[in-house]
Amino acid sequence: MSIRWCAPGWLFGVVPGWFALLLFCSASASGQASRPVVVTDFVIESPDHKSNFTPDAERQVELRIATELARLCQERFGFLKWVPADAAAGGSTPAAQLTLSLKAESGSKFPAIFLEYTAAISGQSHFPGVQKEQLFGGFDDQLTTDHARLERTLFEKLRQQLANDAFRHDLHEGFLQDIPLADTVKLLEPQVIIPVNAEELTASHESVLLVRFSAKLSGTLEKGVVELIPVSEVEGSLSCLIQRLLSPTLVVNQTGGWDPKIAVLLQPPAVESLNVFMLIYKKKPNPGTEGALSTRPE
Amino acid sequence: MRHNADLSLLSPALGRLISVLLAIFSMGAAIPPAMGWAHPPVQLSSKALPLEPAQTTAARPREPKDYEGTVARYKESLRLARQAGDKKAEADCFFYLGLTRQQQASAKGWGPEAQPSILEAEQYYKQALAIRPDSASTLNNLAQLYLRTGRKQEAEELLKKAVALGDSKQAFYAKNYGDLLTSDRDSQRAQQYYELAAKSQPENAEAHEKLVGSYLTVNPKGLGEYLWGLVKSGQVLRAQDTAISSLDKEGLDIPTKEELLTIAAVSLSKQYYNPSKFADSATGSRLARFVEDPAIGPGVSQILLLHVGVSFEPSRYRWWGQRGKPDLDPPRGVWPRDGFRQLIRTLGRRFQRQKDAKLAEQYYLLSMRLDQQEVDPEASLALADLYVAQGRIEDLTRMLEQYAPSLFHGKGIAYRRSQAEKIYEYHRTLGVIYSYLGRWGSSGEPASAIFQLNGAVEMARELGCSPEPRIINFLAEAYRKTNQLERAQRLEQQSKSDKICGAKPSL
Repeated sequence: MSIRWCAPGWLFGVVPGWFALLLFCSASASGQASRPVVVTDFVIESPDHKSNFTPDAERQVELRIATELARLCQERFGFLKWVPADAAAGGSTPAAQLTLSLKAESGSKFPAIFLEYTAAISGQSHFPGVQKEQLFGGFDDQLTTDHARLERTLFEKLRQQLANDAFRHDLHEGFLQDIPLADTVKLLEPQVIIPVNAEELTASHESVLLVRFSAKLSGTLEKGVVELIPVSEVEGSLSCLIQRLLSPTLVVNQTGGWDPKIAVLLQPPAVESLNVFMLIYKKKPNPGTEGALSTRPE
Repeated sequence: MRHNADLSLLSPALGRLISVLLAIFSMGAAIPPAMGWAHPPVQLSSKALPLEPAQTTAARPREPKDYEGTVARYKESLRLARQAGDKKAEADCFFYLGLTRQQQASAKGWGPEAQPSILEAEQYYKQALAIRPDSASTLNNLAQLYLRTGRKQEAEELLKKAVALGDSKQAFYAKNYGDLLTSDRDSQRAQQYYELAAKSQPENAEAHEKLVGSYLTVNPKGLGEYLWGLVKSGQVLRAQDTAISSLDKEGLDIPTKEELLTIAAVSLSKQYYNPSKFADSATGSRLARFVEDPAIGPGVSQILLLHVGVSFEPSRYRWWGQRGKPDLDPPRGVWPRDGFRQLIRTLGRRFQRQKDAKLAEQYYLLSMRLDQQEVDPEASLALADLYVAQGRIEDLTRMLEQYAPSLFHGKGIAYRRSQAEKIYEYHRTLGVIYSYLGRWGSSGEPASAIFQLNGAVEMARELGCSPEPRIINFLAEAYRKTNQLERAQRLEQQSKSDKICGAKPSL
């Protein structure tokens, strides 16, 4: 059974650290899950680069790049847990995978070298949202033998890509917003609670979550969507208000709106499938603050 | 209990503390969710968020919070902290007590009914500060309490101190201080603090919006500098959106509008989108609203026309072509002409990658011809690469014959004005083209690879960067072809820096 802290962070200041370690409780006690895991990988496919590496050295470089990619994505897309491929090996099944490949252009006398992303969600191939990008022109020194410089160039390119908000926008819109965060919600009228650790999600109230559901009402299958905006946390889970709900038999168009039928549509026994996605992600810039107040003493 | 077995090993005081904490902790399951130990009063502050359910007709009020219960539990924690002699924990408890009362006062609407909570909050915060005078969080919250109760001057002192402490939430306090100064109509100083917040937290949309608002109010001409900084750091969507939305501001002078449109064009050049869908995109539609603007309308129309990809006559893009000076560097950012050229080249590269060499060629040629006074060395090089990749050496020869005079002329102006980066670009372009054509020559022949490549290497040294690897490769080859083997070897043995000179395609 996985364990997590259920004591408030400040308690670690109130009681000695060794004692705080005794204060565990189970995740199931609060019904809260961790963020979905996205595995990052890097693969050298370009024949001229590949042939100059020993298999061991090649895997080492691949792992270092995959680790850097995971680190950079974690900084920018904290609502997911980013893990490099080797570190993820043997762990639980990842929700998604983002693979970066170093590829040579085909059918050219002077092949350019590209960085190309491929993606998968639940093992199924998925559009990554971003286009392949040229790393070296056909007439450039492509660093096929200078491994150290190749690695530094790749690091720099990754940093450049992830610093570009247009690149991040495309990656999110094409890929990340399709990764399910949860398959259930709890209802605490008028709040919809997403059973994922809110502190990990760091979603500001400018973020928008999307629930896609299908429910069977009087023998008829009804599909609908709900847009949610984060407002707070309840028992460590993310608490949201409904911004909009659209289904064949119910429309809610007011922020904080509610209708008794919502509880029927989103909960058993009527609900047949439900998934929560991060439609728009705006990272909370200052965790531990709300409004103009600081909510932590540090 | 399993843990109790170990308690006998501890000092009596600690043992008592632990027993009490365990007892309290075991109560946690029985405490309702909103009051549980898993949640210090942090969650209560959701009332401070702008999206209150009560604002909508279908919304219902949330459960009232148990402030008294929360205060009671923190008081118990305070007692334990004191018992253990833990000063930091004591200060933390005072902080949370102050926060709980402050939130209670807020819930009561800050009226007479809230007075006891306000007084208690102040006392608790002061007690926290007596133990930890460097707690910026406490200083900030007390300042907010003072602001609510009309004690602006004291609030200002505290916020100033909180910012000066420079802890991890400095940007947050700076934004709060900026708000205070704005409410005091001191927009000039507010801008400084918003700038501090926005620059230290590039993703903080609120700080960014407030900074932009303050620029537009106080100093619209200064906005460009901030936006160029955003472009440089990769925040191109934000720079573009801000530039376009700022164009709506009344009373902007023509140079400011032109700079904002240039920032939008350069931001577009660093994005990934389908050019054929640009006119119908949100950005295309927003830009199209300015087509009739007497100051920038033609520039906007030309951006839209460029994306259609059917008209490559330089005279159709005169608005942009006329806005650049060959012999002067722009005061900041790039000249409108050069910003537009960045966009043209990006579109060219995009079509080249899509294997539409014909269209790519048109874009590169347009960039080269956009301003007859100054040819575009980057586009010239891109076009040369395209010709060589397609084996069109005759076309490359023709291109050199046609544009060499302009390239030499531009290089001459750059030398006269000591524009080192431009000089490097001209040498690089000419050197590579001469190399492609096998015109190796010598260091005394300007119309040769050796002369131009040497110039590029020297200029790179001056700029403190390495020339592109292919410059070295071509120069070494040129030395070999002209029987200067020792020079070729020496050149190849020179150490290379990772900092490469000259613009590299980023898309």
